[in-house]
Amino acid sequence: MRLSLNWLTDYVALEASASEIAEGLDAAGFEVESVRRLDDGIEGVVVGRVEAVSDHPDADKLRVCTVSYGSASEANVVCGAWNFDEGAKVAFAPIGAELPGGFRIGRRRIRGIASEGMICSEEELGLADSSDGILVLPDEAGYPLGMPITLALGLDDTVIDFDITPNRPDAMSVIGLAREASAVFGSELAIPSIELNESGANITDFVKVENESPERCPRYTARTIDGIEIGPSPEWLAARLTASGLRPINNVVDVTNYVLIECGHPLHAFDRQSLAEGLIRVRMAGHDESVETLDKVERKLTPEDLVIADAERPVAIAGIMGGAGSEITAQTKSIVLESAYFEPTGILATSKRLALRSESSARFERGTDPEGVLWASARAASLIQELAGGVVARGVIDEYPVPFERQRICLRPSRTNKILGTRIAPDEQVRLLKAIEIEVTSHSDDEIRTVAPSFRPDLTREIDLIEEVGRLHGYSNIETRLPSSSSHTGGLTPRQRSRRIQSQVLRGAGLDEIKTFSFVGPEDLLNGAGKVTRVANPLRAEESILRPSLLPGLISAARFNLAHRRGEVRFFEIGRVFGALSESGMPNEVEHLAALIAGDPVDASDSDTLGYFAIKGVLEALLNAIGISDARYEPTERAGLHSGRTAAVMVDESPIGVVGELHPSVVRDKGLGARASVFELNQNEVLGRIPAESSFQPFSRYPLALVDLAFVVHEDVAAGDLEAAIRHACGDALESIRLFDVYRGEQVAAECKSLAYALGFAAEDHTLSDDELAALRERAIDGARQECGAELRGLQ
Amino acid sequence: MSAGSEMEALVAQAKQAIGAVADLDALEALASELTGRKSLIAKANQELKDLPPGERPEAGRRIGQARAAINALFEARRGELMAAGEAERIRAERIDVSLPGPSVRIGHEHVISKTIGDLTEILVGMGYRVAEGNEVDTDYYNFEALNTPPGHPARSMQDTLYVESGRGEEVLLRTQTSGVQVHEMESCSPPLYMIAPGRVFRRDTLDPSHSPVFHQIEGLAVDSDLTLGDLAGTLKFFIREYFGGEREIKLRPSYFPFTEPSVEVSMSCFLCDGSGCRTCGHAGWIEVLGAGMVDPNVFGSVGYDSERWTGFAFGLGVERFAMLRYGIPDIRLLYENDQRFLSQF
Ligand SMILES: [Zn+2]
Repeated sequence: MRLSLNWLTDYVALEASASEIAEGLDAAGFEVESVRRLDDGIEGVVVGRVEAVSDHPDADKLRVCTVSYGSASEANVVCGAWNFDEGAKVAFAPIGAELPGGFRIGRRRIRGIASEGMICSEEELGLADSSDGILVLPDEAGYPLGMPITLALGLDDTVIDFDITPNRPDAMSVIGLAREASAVFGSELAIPSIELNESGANITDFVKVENESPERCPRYTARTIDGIEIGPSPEWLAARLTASGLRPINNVVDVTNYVLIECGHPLHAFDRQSLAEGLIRVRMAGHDESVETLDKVERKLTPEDLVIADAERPVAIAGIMGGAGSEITAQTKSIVLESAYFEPTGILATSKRLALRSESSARFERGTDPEGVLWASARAASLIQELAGGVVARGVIDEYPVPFERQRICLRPSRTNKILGTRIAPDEQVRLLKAIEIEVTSHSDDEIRTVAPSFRPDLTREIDLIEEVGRLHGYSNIETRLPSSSSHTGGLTPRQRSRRIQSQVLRGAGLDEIKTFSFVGPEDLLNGAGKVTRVANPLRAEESILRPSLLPGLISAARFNLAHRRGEVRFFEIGRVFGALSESGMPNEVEHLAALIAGDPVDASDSDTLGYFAIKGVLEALLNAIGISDARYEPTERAGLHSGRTAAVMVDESPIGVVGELHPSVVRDKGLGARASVFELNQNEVLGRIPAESSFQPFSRYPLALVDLAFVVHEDVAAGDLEAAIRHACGDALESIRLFDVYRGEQVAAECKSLAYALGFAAEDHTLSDDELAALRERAIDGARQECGAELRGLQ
Repeated sequence: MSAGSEMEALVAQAKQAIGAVADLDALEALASELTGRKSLIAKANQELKDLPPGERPEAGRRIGQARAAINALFEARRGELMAAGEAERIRAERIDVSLPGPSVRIGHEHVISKTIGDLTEILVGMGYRVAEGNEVDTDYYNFEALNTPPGHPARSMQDTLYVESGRGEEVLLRTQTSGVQVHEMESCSPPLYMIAPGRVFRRDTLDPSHSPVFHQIEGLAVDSDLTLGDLAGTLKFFIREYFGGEREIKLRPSYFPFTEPSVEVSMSCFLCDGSGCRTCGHAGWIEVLGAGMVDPNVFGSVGYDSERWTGFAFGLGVERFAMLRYGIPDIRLLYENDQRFLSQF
């Protein structure tokens, strides 16, 4: 909402400066986005007249104009706009003039022709965000040539731009903000009185209104004005609309917009001659109906959309935008002036569906003042009469089957102080409420009985009044304190603590944490990924699927980095992933932790730093750090992973995740260098298995006896299984087991490998004797033979 | 020659020989020669039995003395040679101490996690526990139970991403962490002090200041005697802990459907101390979060008695805090995962 201070002070006398007004309203809850003088940055721009126009000899799209701008001053300028002819009055910036943004006009040559200035558009003057052509001043206005444009356009004004919260439709108007300013600064609010001359025939002779949808349109009023003369608006009106961010169009349309900004009530004017049978029918749209709106777009309607129709067809989308067919044109002589109250949610739904928003819909969807309908209508009719002439028909049609009932609300002054932490006296609370026109019907120290004004749809409960008292009292006057209760202590859950440890371990292992989006595109999914959950209304295909895994994000991040820096990347991410929909319609949402190592090894001959064992080492360190020491690794296959180098991570017979190298085709397609390996864990499985707390385990204080054993086994035997067999055979006396060599080659049979282990034996209460040690060694050898067919190397 | 002078001569010879030895190996070989089984001393010892019994003790004593003297000479020489060897090793092993050690790369925490961690630490210290909620939730928890029924104008403040669930616009990607409030209140009774950090989603195009994915921390306190003054005090304390002890805060009345009164909280700019700079848009104040007293309707939807309990809630944007604190100019940097960015935090 752009508020002109010149306009505001019509209704409330204020001594305060522009910045004080801005500050006062901001503190009352109306967020100020900017405060700007309209003539800011405009220097030396004057009223000029285009005396002659000729074609540019060397450019089809340019013209050469002669502009006079004051006593005997003339300039030739090259201009690219076409929305004017000879005789047009324009905003002319001669050489030396300055435009907002510090742009100074100099002498230029454009396609070989000297240009001695510039004919300005509203955009160039900082008056609009965009312009279709140059600013053409209304002819009738009779500005003298050479007059500063800031005077001609009424730019001697300051505009405050507010971001109005959706609960305050009343503040989307000059009067609404004037009311607040009057409360903040303690100055009287003066609403203009209306002088309206109704004459001639009765309204019912001109137009008939049928409201078929009173739920969606609780109130519909119409006036007619006949014999008007369409023309440009006077300067003061045009200036105020421009200051408010609206473009002046013609006197009738401008008046409806003026009243809209003034009191916040949207109005619409129809060309009465264009209404079939002079009928206005408020109804729902039919199935295949459409209407061309004022912006020349054909809008398809649905039976959920409320329209204003004549006897034959829709002539407006109610509360949102008028139709092109009933638009006010230069030829219009007679109008129907609509002032209505539309039900907010219906307007919001239609506006959202059509992606069509207007000054009008923005107010209706928040809730306008059902009781303000007639004031707005009379105000507009009197201004139209004043500016466009014509006869206002006698009376007004007012379809208002169920009159609005204002909300009665009781406030306990003690409750105000309990919520706000204040000591505001009941009388003061009454004063603050009255300052913004909340009617107080009776009050005592215990209770203030009020009736909310009809322009405040947000006031329905006691708490709403407490907020009003609070904000007018001023939040800066509230004493701050800290909650006194000491019954609570804060903290992290065990899961949250474990997650922090995970992050620390992975960082310690040289991995950077990354954050990627929770959506992926179809291209990102690794082939063969299972069922996914989709976003119903994504903005882009790349954001259309809820990530079923963290791997696509890690791969993209690796790719991004490797694309401009060769070398290695080591990343991890912890985040939610989403499976297919469950029966309840909710996707299965689980936290995962995943890591990736990829790129080209620093030492080109050593791609092991990027392979399965490199990532597995990280994974093992991670699991150990959080107390999971008994994970097993079973060969498995997984979409997008190397089928010979991928394992399921098993704990207590359940898979908790997967570790492996990415499939060579994925590495190639995604540009991940020589090799890439990953692991991904289901955190529900991982964090759920962390021992709650470790307790002391007694350990042997006697010497550890080391025994080295090398076994030859078939290639199919997994080292993990052999190790498990040895552990099982030796029992508690085996304190440690470490694989220190894997050998394949001449000294062992084909399709066999040698695995060499260092076994550490100890007893809890004595030093192992040679005999005991020999027996344990035998048990290890027997166990390996029986469970894995392993032979002691050198004994074959 | 008497046994005595023989031994004296032996010690004198040993002294000379030991002094002439230049390395430890030769010294050990000499030691075996002079004191080992075949040495003269060993021989003299063996020959003791051939002496007359009266002379034996004296001769034995002299042999013992000689052996001890020779051993002492060896020990001293051993010490000298080791010290000389170590001195030589130190000379030989001289290195360029400015050369780097073998690289041990330590990874970095993402700045979003770091910020969540830092903020969480402050709030945990203030007595809040940390709750977690799902990123996909229902319309009920994201809007309706938060006093934002269908058709409510506040819904258009946030463009929502919905999940293709076969349930229409029922299942969505949460637009705010506020829904965690409702889940928590449904499962716990007051008093309640909790925060909920997490991811939220909006149907926004990625640009320097918007991201369709970002993070919030929601805070909720419910107790028997909480006021707007407690909220203001809590936020002032919290903001000072994070942005520095000199920060002042300002509350502007605002609007959120699930709090009333609602406030927008600004702090005095930490760069210019309120005099105006680019970071604060020359206002001297920076908006940092939204907050308010829990709306009685929200208490109603979870079955709390709003006459008995009052509460406040606040919500902040993690990215905004991080960008302010570290001077990060563009939100996209947070999700691009460029190593040159990641390694800065
Ligand atoms: Zn600043």
